[in-house]
Amino acid sequence: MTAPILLAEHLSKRFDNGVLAVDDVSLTVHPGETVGIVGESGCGKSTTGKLILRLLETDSGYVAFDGKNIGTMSGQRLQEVRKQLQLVPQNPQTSLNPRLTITEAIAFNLRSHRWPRRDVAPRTASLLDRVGVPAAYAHRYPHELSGGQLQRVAIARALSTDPKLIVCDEAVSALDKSVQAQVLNLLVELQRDLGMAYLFISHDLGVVEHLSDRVVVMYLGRIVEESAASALWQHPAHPYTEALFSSVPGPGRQRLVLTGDLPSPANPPSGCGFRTRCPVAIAACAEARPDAVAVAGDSSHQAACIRIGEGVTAATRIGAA
Amino acid sequence: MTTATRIDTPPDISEALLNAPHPSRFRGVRTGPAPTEGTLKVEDLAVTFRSKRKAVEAVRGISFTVEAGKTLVLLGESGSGKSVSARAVMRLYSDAVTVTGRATLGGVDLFDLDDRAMQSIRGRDMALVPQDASGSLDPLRRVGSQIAEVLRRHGIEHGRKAARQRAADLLAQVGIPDPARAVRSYPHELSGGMRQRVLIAIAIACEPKVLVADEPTTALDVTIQAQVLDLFAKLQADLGMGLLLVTHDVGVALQMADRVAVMYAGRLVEEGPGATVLGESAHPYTAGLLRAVPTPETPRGQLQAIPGQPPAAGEAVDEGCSFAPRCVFAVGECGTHRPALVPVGAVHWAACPVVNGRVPVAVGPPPSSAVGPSPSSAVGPPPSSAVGPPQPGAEAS
Repeated sequence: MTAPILLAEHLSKRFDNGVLAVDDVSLTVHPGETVGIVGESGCGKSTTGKLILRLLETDSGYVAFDGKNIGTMSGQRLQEVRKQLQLVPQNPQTSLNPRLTITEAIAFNLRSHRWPRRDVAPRTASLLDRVGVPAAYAHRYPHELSGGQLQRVAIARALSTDPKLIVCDEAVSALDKSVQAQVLNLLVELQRDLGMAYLFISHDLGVVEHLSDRVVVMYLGRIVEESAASALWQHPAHPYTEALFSSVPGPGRQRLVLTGDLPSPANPPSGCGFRTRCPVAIAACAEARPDAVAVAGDSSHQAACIRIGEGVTAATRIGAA
Repeated sequence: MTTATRIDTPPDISEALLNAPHPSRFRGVRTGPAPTEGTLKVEDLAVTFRSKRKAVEAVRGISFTVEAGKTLVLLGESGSGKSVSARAVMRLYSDAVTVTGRATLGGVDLFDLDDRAMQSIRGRDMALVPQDASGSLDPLRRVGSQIAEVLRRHGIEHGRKAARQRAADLLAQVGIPDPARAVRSYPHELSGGMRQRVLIAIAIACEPKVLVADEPTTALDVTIQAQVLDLFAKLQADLGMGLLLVTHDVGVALQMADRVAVMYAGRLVEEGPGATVLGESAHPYTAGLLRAVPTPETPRGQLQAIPGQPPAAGEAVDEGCSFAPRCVFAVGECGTHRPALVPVGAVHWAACPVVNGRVPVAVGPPPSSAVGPSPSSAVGPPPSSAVGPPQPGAEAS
């Protein structure tokens, strides 16, 4: 296997208000691959993205991009990495400067990375064309475009510096479904043509499953399960993943509805973070934080639950009841 | 709102006294006709917002019926007019907004009532669960008092203590743990899911005949959404309420709907039984919407997106079909003739000339050619001319 483009090891982040948003998270992204991070609000998925982009400083652990630790970089070298590591944020209405036309917004990114001056204008035009924004819109301001068009502009801006990895933080969540499908198709097409990797952060299980090669499920700042996307959807191993999938609304399915709310990340439960809502929790779950273990002997499928080895899942419990 | 003096003496005192449990108080006394049953019928509803520069026609003549105890889902994307319709039926808009058409609840014409008569229906016979739980609760008052206000206002409970006790019971009914403590909480002390439950408790406080829920789970996480949807189903079974559920989420519609009404650009494009509309869609927009959602079977990057984007509220072309510019089945007449809802199956209507007795469209692969209807796509329920008039509200049996 090729060397990973991104290696994040043991990232943790505690905010000043005491909230432990990210707790010992490690993940790997290989070139050209899409890794999805899925979880509910407050699970730390966006904070993980920011730590990887070094928009936030990590409390412990490190992020290596292309084999180099970006935590110790500064100045020119960090700038060089940022060129390779771009972001498509959730809300283009607020992430695009309202005073710049969309062409200027993309050119700004290029200039800040010292792109050869004479290349900027033609490159901007071809990028807009590439993402399907009509040339007639090139000199419009963000407020003159629809949400779908703006998200295309945000993608063009991220693409502009030929990145190797793009972090998409809820990049399609604000779009209507009929438009969301267009943008998802565009993301896949661009990846096929240009070969960059995506770290795709979303709460939408269907979208993550559709787009990702591998998926990381987070709960309360920790990774609870990690697997190839197809295997995860067919055989979720962690009780939380099972509950999450079974909560997706739809007609007449066996539903596993969790009781209670997400515990406060400022004061998480001892041991396993999920045990307070877990249908198969036992006393031992409170004692120690569960390690990730291979599911059914498959080392590419890992879940952090002490009962995995027993073959106990929430579904078997429901079946027994 | 703590004193009874703010409420004027009702016009007909003798009538009011007959209804009043406590003759000395007018609070809670009905000031208008009471609905006899729980059918909410909306006919030809249109809502127009006017500013100095332009008029925005958000809703352009829609009709639907929420049968007593049943669930009707208004499904649509942003700007389709679904929330505006729900709020207009509740008469939540001021006189500055033009609302026309007719809405009746159990025989009472809601648009014909004076404001005070409407007030005794709103919250009592018909209640709203708004989307934004944080913005809909008063941040300065404990949630118990906000629930008690509804009970006292409609004369369900009179004493403060009794109302507070009933508020705690309601919180227990919507599944809030430790309700005795929760009644004393301020909204910011509760999680989003709990705040949404408080809003539901307020809405069901008077055991209304119809609940109008405007995207009630959109702001919630999926595991909490599952809890709240289950709660709606349970309350409906317990209290026999009708439910008008506004949502953009096809999955929510599939799970909850007895009937689904699909809105696009201020109009209904399809209406019928939930499983039929979302399983064997007759309108190209509904079919397209379903195909645009990723399923485990969809090959990556091959989602069948609908080209273009939905028109902003009130921006739709009014000549012909509003969906025609994005429709792969559009033919010449789609741009010039506005299609009416026509029967396409048993109690199932769609507004599309392509399905207008000719070529029904079913969910499936799109036509190989993007021009005109393809006969090979002619699967789905045969159009039935034996079913009543093309009026979606008329099928109540």
